[in-house]
Amino acid sequence: MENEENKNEKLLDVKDLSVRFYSNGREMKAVNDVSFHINKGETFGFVGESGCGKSTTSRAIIRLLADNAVVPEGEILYNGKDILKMSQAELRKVRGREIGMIFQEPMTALNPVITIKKQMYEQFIGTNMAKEEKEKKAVEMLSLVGIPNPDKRLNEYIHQFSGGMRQRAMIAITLAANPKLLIADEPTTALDVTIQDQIIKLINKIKGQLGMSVLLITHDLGVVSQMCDRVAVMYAGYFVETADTLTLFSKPRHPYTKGLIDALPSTEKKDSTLKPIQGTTPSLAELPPGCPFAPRCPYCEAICNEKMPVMKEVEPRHFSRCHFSEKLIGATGLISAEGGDK
Amino acid sequence: MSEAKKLVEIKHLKKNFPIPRKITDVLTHKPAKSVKAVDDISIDIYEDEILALVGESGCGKSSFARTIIRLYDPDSGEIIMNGKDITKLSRSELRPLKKDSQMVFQDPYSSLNPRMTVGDMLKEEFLYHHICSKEEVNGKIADILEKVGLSQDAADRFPSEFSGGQRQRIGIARALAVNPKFLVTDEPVSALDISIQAQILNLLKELQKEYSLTILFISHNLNVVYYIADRVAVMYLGKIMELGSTRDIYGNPLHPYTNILIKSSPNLDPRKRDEAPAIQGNPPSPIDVPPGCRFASRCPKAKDICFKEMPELKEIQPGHICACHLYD
Amino acid sequence: MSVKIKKKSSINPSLLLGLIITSVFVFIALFPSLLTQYDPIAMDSKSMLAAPSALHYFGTDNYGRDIFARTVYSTRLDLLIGVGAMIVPFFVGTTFGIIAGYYGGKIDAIMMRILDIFMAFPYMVLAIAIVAIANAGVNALFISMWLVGWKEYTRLVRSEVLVVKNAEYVEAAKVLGYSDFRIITRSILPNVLSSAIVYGASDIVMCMMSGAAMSYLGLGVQPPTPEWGAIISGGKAFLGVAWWIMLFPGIFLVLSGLGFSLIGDGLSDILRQKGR
Repeated sequence: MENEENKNEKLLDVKDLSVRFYSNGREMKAVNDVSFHINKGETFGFVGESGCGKSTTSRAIIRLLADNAVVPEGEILYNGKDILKMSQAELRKVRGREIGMIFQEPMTALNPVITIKKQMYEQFIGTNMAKEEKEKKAVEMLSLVGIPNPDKRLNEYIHQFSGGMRQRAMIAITLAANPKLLIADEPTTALDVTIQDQIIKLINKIKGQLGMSVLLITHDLGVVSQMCDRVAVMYAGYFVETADTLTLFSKPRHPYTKGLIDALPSTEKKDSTLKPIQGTTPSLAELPPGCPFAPRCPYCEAICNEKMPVMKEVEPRHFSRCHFSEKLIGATGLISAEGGDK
Repeated sequence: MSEAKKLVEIKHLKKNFPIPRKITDVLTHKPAKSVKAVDDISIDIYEDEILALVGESGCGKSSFARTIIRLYDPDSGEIIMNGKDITKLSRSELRPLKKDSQMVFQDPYSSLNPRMTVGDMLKEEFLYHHICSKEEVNGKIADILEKVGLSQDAADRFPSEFSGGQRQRIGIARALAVNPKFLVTDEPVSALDISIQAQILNLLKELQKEYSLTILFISHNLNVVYYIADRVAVMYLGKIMELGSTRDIYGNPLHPYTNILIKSSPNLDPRKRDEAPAIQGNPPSPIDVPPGCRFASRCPKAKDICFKEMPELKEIQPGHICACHLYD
Repeated sequence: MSVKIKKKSSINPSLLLGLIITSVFVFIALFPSLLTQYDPIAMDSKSMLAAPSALHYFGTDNYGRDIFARTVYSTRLDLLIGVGAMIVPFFVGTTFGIIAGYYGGKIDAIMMRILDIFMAFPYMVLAIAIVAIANAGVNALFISMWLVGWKEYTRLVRSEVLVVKNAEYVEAAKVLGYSDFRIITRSILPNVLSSAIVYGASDIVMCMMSGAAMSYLGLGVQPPTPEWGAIISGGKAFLGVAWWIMLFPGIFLVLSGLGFSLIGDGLSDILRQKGR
């Protein structure tokens, strides 16, 4: 799980990324000062609640943002080249080919009026594959994701697939282009728990088989736990804590992470009270000058409202953006670090 | 809970949704098909308890909820409240009883009338059901807004001015304004963020104690159910598979489906990752329901008899009921 | 990446412009005598087919009637036709749409078949038939437009109702035990009215145009009553020598239509934003 931080192992390296949206004359600070990297073969997760900027960040990576979005600063290095500076032609080689994306709703992410086969073949444009090769690969992809009778189902339309099968079909089509990085934006949120379980295990398995990296976006801590090697917690467009999954869940060092953990109902928690985080998320157009979490933070002190905390390495490869992260040392996490439940 | 009073007794409730036939089907005498959303369900709900109904999409839990509060008319069966079978009452006889059972809906973005202010909505309820006089209305509105954790100026605002969590609070206020005894909540926190979800769950718990409510809590989220429910019923394709106290269901699940549901929920410990999913495939269509146990086709423990005969709900341990041939 | 910074607008520009234009026409309709001292039907054999001048702003027609006066005095009638022909179908059509949509089943099926029957008649054919029965004139105009105008409202409102009636807040109203009437008037109607209103604004324009067209064909307003379409029709034969007879009423017709259209656009924008 832990890769050596070798420079040429980094597939994606994002530095100081910010994204602003302009609407109705207001400026929304959707993504602020985000830095992270994804190594080859690892799964990195963004976790946060709605409006925290996780989807926006993921779309910024392949420059899929709306017209009223601006990237005032930052670098997105994919295999060393900055995506933000790429020409349209270079970008087209990356999007869909090197970096693929799957979404929450297959019915709206896929084209409902053309067959799966046709959509799959769209992924082969630009490669010089012969007709038989394309067909073979298409069938292969559908089998890889566990769709029975793949040759028959290739000629069907997305509405002829049910729930979990749709997700699988979407994954198959996206993977047909052989991407090295898969961005998965809430891929299981709309699914039943048994189907979600299947899709989680499927992505984990395929990732290993194809040697892919995955960027997972979700609000579900359970999904994070089952899929991610490392995680970043986002709030109001900022990364507030990053660490590997086990460390984050057992030794959180940011009040927001701790707040999420305390507010999460779980059959694995022996403690039967739920501590919600009071208040609501701030508007991205009216972020306070200091830490955005300060109004809701139980550890808040004067400096928190005045000065924005910076990301500090609180222990090797564990970062927290908090003036008082040491106050959380020893706080109970979701699980105990010694293996076994809390 | 041994001498607890029953608030609602449901006996052999059935609700089908017929599938409209094409004219060619009528001419060729093809039999009419229907979705058996609620297929012969009998269950008792006790006063002051929170009974959870869990299941995946298509299992019929939402249809069941709506049939109990008579949004849908049942095809057969009895729903007995206060000694009266409400399935046999006419609409006008039913009207005064409406305020005894209320519902909180799932989607905070479509459960409130976008053209009415919160205050107007509450005022209409108070006056229509003669809860109070015209003069007392504003006081009652202020009261209930406070109870659900909203500020007083909420009364003059439209739903579009509120966040998802706040809208759910409004939805709860709407349900509680008429002093119901029985509250059906249909996935009330599924559309909310984790931190807000916790606020609303705690709110429901508080209000349940304060108003002595009986709550039927519909959800697909096993962790939420674990936190809030006293008893849990597991539904699959229109039938109840297992019913018991929360401790029994989670600690000692009897039915293979319950087991699989619990196993499917993602484990919070990243060191505990299985490679194989808890179960493969999708639930079969609720239209052509196979004979025998609904779950047989996917059950890891299925025997021959499971495909032929529908198992009965039997009390396996005190208060813990299960419908499975494993326990014959 | 490109950026578009939109300023926060206080009032919708379409709506504002539309209201300004329409108010001008309403003023003209209400106080025609303030604008001209000529009598719209007075003939003057001394200045027939006179070109526009300081004496006759829009020139005169073949009877020597001042075109400016005729155009100005038509405004009231034309606006009345536009609004009057739209208002009855608006109420009737909306009501039908709500009933068909809300109750569904047989009621809906029957109403939709009636709708289909009316759809089968081309508008003009029906109009002509009615005029033949009822005699040409403004009354015939209204009757024919009322008879064909309701269909669109019914269809529009019905489809909106079909969506709204499944919304959870309507379910909530039912769970609260409200009567059908209360549910329809308080939960359904306010949420479907906006599309009917927006359509209504453009319907006014269509009714005015239809009225003008019918009068042009001699089926609506009868001479010598001034009405834009009738004036234009009268100017047909003189297009080569007295183009002003057709031009100015035409401009008024287009501009007044534009005014209502802009109101419709503006309302549509505003009501759409208010939606959620």
